[in-house]
Formats: sequence, C-alpha cells, structure tokens
Amino acid sequence: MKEGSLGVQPTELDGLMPVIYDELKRLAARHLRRQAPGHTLQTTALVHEAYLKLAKANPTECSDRPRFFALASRAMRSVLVDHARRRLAVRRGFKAGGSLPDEGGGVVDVQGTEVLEVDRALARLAEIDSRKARIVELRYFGGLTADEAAEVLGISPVTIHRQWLLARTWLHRQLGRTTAE
Amino acid sequence: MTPERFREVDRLVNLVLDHPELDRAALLDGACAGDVELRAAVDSFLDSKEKLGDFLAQPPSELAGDLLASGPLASGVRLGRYVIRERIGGGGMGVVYAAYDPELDRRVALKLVSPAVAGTGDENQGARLLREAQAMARLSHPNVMPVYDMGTFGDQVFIAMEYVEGNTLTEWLAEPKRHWRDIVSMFVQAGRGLAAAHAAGLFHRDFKPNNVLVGMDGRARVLDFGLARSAQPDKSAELDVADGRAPADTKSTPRLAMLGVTVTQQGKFVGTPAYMAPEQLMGERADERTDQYSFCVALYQGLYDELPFNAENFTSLPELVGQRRVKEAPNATSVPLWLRQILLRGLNPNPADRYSSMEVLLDELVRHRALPRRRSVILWGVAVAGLLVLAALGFRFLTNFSRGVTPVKSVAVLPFANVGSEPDNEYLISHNHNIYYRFDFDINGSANNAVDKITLQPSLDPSPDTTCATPGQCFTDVQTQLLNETVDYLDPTVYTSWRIYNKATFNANGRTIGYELVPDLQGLWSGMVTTNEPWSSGELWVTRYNGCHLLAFDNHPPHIPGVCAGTEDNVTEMVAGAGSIDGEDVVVWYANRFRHFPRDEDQDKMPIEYMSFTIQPRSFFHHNPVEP
Repeated sequence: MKEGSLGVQPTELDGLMPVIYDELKRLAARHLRRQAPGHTLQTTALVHEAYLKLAKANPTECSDRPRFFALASRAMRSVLVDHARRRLAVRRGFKAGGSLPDEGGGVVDVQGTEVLEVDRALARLAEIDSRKARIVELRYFGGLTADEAAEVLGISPVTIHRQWLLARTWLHRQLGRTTAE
Repeated sequence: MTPERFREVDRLVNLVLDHPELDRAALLDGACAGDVELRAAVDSFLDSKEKLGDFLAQPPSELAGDLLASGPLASGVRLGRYVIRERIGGGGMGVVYAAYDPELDRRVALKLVSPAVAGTGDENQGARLLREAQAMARLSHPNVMPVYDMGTFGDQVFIAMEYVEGNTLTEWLAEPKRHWRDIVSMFVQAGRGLAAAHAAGLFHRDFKPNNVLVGMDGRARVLDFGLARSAQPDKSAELDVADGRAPADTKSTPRLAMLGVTVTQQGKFVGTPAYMAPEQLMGERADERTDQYSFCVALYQGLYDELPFNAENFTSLPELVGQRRVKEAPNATSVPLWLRQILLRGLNPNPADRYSSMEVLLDELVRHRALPRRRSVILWGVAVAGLLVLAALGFRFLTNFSRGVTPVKSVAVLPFANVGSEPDNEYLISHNHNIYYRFDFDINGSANNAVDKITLQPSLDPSPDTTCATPGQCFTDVQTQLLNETVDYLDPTVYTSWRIYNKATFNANGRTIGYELVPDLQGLWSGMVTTNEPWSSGELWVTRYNGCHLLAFDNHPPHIPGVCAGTEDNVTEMVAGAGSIDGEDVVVWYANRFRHFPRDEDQDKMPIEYMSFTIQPRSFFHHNPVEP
C-alpha cells in the first residue's frame, strides 16, 4: 500500500484533513478576536482545541490521537505557509508599484519569510532524514511539546530533544544563519 | 553539507550523546580518524545550542495570529500597529473601524477592504489596491480624505485614514431645508477633491454622497478613490443586483434603493449604478468625465431630492440616460435654471459633450454662485515636508485666539534640528523644506484666505537677517511663491489675501522672527486666494508658543498628561537659543513621524523616511481638533 505524506499508511483520518484545515483557521480567527492586544496566538492551543472539537464530532476517525496531531501539524504548516505566501505576495506587489514601506509588520516580513524558508528547507531535510523533518513539523508548525511529538512518533522524549536540536542546527545552517565550517 | 556527511555527523553526535560517560574528545578523535572537517562539523552540532538561541523555538504565532477569517474585528484586536476600537461603518468596499494608533497617540479610521475586493484569489488586485492607496496617500488635498498608512492584515488590505467626526454627505443632505447655495458649496468642495485627484491621474469611479464625509468643521472630504476600479465589468456582462438591501445612501423610494445597491459581479465590486455614467454602465473605459457625471447625479439628487433618471432597473438605465430623459424639475424647486443647465450638461450621455474637466464644471458652478460667507475662525495650514510629499500636514489655530481682528502677530518657524538619536537623520536639517500656509481668517467680517508656499533653506551661516544662533538650525525663506490655484471666481473686494513675510518682523522681545502675516491689499495675484474651505488637519499644528507644550522626544514620545514638560530640555534650550519665540507668536511645530519622500532622482541618496523631528506640541496629542 502506498504511504501517505506523513510516512505512514493513510487512514480514514486523512479524509478529515480539509476539515482540520478549516477548523484551525476558524479557531485562529476566534482566538484572535477574543484576545487582548499584545497577546500572540498559541498554535499548540489551536491544535488541541481542533482535536477536542473534531474528536467529538468524529470519534471513530479521531480515535488515533497522535495521528490526529500529526495531521493537524501538517495542516497548520499548510495554513501558515499559504498565509505567509499571500502576505508576502501582497507586499511584493506593493513594492513593485512604488516605494512605500509597509509599516504593519515592518518593512521586512520576518516571520512570513522564515516560514517559507523553513518550509522549503524542511522539504530537503525530509529527503535526508524524514524523521527529523517530521519532528520540526510537529514542534515548529504544530506547536507540539517534545512529549507530544514523542507520543506521535512513538519514540522517547529524549530522542525527540536530541533530534530536534540536530534538525534545528541543520536548518539554521541551511537558512544561512550559521556560517558553515 | 551533503546528505551523507549530515548522516555521518548525526551518527557521531548521537554516539557522543549516548555515551556521556566517555571522553568526548577521545571518542571523536577516534571516530573521525583524522577527518578534521567532520570533527569540526560534529563539534559544531554538539555545541549549537547557544548559537541556535530561540531559532524555531516558537511556532510562528504572529502569522497564526492574523490568519483571520473575514468576520468583524473585536475591540482590542491589532492590525499592524493599530488597535481596533469599534466598528463605525461598513459597506460594499469593506468595514471601517475606529482604531487607535499607540505610536502617535491618536485615533484613526481604518478601512479593512473585503477580501473580495482586495482579491483573495487574485493577488494582483490586492497589490493594485495598495498602489491606489499609495497614490492617494501622496495626494494631499483638503477635500480628499488623508490616507495615513496602509498595510495588509492576513489577506486583507487595510487603509488608515484620518479620523474625522462627521457625517456622510448623504446624511448631511438629509437635513431638512438645506439651501441650494449651501448644497452647491458643499459639492464644490467635494468636486475640488475630485479635481485634485484627476490632476494626479486618479479617478474615483464610484463617486456618490456616501463616499463624501462632511466633518464637524464643515469640510467635505472625498474617500474611497479608485477602489471601484478593482473590478471593471466585462462589456458583455449583464449587471445584476447582488442583494436586495437598500443602502444608506439612497433616499426613500424603493426605486432608488434598487439602483443604489452596490452591485457585485462574480463577487467583485463594480460600482453603484444609480451614479454611474453610461459608459461605465456599459463597461467602457472610465475617465475624469465619468466622475463628473457621477458628481452631477449626486448634486442633482442633493438639489432635487431625487435622481435625475426614472429607471426601474439597471438595464433600462443606460437607455434612459442615452435618450437624455432627465426628469422635469419639480415645480416648487428653488434651484435656479442656470444650475440645472450646468447639471444637464454634466449628465450628458456622451462624455465629449460634458465639461472638459471637473475644474471647468466647478468654475461654472462658482461663477454663478455668490459664495456664502464663512463665519468660523480658523487658520488652517498645510505643511509639506521635503520636495516630495506624502501626507497633508495641517495645522489649525485654536479658536480662542483667532477671534477678532488679526490677533496673530507673527508666525515663527522653529528651526529644524535633529535632536533625535539617529545620526542618519542629519541630512534632514540640511534639506529644503516647503511649507504651505493657508490662512482662513475672519478679519473685518469677511472670510480671507491665502495660500503661500515658502521654500525654506537651511541657513548655514549666521546671518544678520535672521536670528540664527546656530548654523544649520535656522532656515531662510529663499522663495516665497503663492500657490497657483485657480480661484479667479473670487471677488477681490470681498476676499483679502495674506502674505507671509520673513523680514522686519519683531516679537515682543524686539527680536526678528520668522514670518509675518501681511494682508496683501493689492491683490496682485488672482491665483493667491483659494476657496474658503479649510485645509486638512494632520500632523502639523500651529499653536501659540507655550513651554508646557514642549517635549523633546526620541522616536516615540511619552505622553504624560498634565505634566508640564520641557524637562528633557534640549528643545527648550534650542528655542531659547534662537531667542525668537514668545507668547505672542504662533509656532509651527513639526510632529514626529511624517513620511518624507525623496524625488525620484534623489532616491539613491535619500531614503524614504519616517521623519523624526523631535519637537511636538503636547497639545497635539491631547487636544486633537478632530477629537473634541
């Protein structure tokens, strides 16, 4: 059987991917509306909340909680990347038309750029070491803790910590943040 | 690093970590077998923790944060640096919020343009919208709503505008028994805004009373320029009513309500058919005469309280317009015939048969009109920094000292100094600045207006003509030139123009100071007097000098209400050093953070800058005239 995008066999849960995607966006919006200024959104809270909600509605599909978190992290990655892409595209168009800096998020959209860079680099990492790439996806995009990521991947938290550090170091170099020795 | 090398590094890093009991150096020496590069890489990975800092440690929460669905924003939500306060309006173009700008401590109006307009699917639309807004931001005119800033929020576009207390022109017109003269006056104001945009190559494309805001100051400001261009209908496309709701900008009849509906086509905004010229309804190219047509529809509606055409639906409208079937004027109307004639010409179905420009139309309107006199006593000014300008920077006299006959002795322009901490801003003080003054006084019972343009050049050497104590901190007026506005309709026997001189003006201390207001009795320039609409308020203000108004700031001023400032005292010293200001003077204050655009040819040596003149009147922040 063909492997799914997460390196495991697809289950019924994969069918929920679009639902998860929408739910995350919806939750993000709702959280933002309720928030006091200055607070940022907790990706991890979103993922958990999406799980609680969707598991209630689809108990069978969502019985595999770790797998749900894996999918939700993938969905979150996709949500964030899409979003960053759009945000940067609008800004580029803006710059092309003239020279007014966008003040909203600073002239350079640091987060948007980083998300896209990490996303691209992560695709390369997945070819070299798919497990590390998945850890980054879970922790960075999904906002999962080391313990949760360990549960998802069925490995020890210690290994997660170690792999996470290695993956970050590799990405750090890939993104040109570290001069390669 | 090749994948193979990375796997090797990975293996060795794990080996070291798996065996904390072993000596790392010895272990790696053995394992790397003299491969210095490999050894260095392993060490680098093992010691990376510090170098990594918080790299990837936090999920991209800001991005997640503005993943916003298009629902209304709640109070407290941030858009860029703005904090939403409340929703104050909404329509086909988007939602308008009252918001707060913590950096400048002022209210702004934020228009969040709907994704359908900004173009969720089509990024070019969002980009174009931003370009339009940018063009608007460059356009500085008292009758155009000042655009402060714009940005993106999620995939939406927001535009930050001056917050103006007031009503839409629709609401203004709804007041019973408006005299036609007043209506014409108000429309002439709005028309000047349109004309200014046309002069800058911008068309409105959706002019209607709801897109004109009349401030409490009685000034009309046109908004939402160019937004409707985001989607032009196909020529062949049939227009449909997108929804059946009557918008606020039509009066009572159901027919009007039908035609006033904002039409969308495939989810895209097109315009408001009742006000659209036939060429626009047919999807043909719109130009300034298209706006002229919409203007005339709106003015017609304002004067007669009904639309000029009796159309049941959109499809019959172009036909009626084409046949020039404008309704008969109501019997009881007080609207003079000449005015109707002007309107009919503007409503001509053939653009070529209308007036050649808004200017010409407006001139016709005011030529026939005896301008009502203005009683309010305000001084407005617009200062424009740099050779190119973004924001309209307005100033305003406090009413309490502009009453009566010429209470103002002088206008002093504070020297520019880079008292901020940014050495990069030094060039600003050696840069020419243009200042436009506009005076709108009530002197001898008449309205008086003048616009002067003064080019200030830094005076590098102390000069006997000035009180320049410190080279580079004084400006001399190298060119005083009256702004060339077409105002030949004004009767020079009624309107006095004023000039500003920078010589032979003394303050109470007997010191020569900046500029003196002198009535220009000769009326030499017909072009020197403008209409009596006040100019926009903005980030520049004129006040009497008051030490308590002074604060020296770095980029972002602290605002401490009730504290008499001048304690961070380089500003006070500077003023004292110039010796030029006293309580009789009016001081032109440059506020923080207005934008400064270099000319194209200067762009390589001059960045676009948020200027940080660090002199501000405290009162600007605490008694903004638009926030009583």
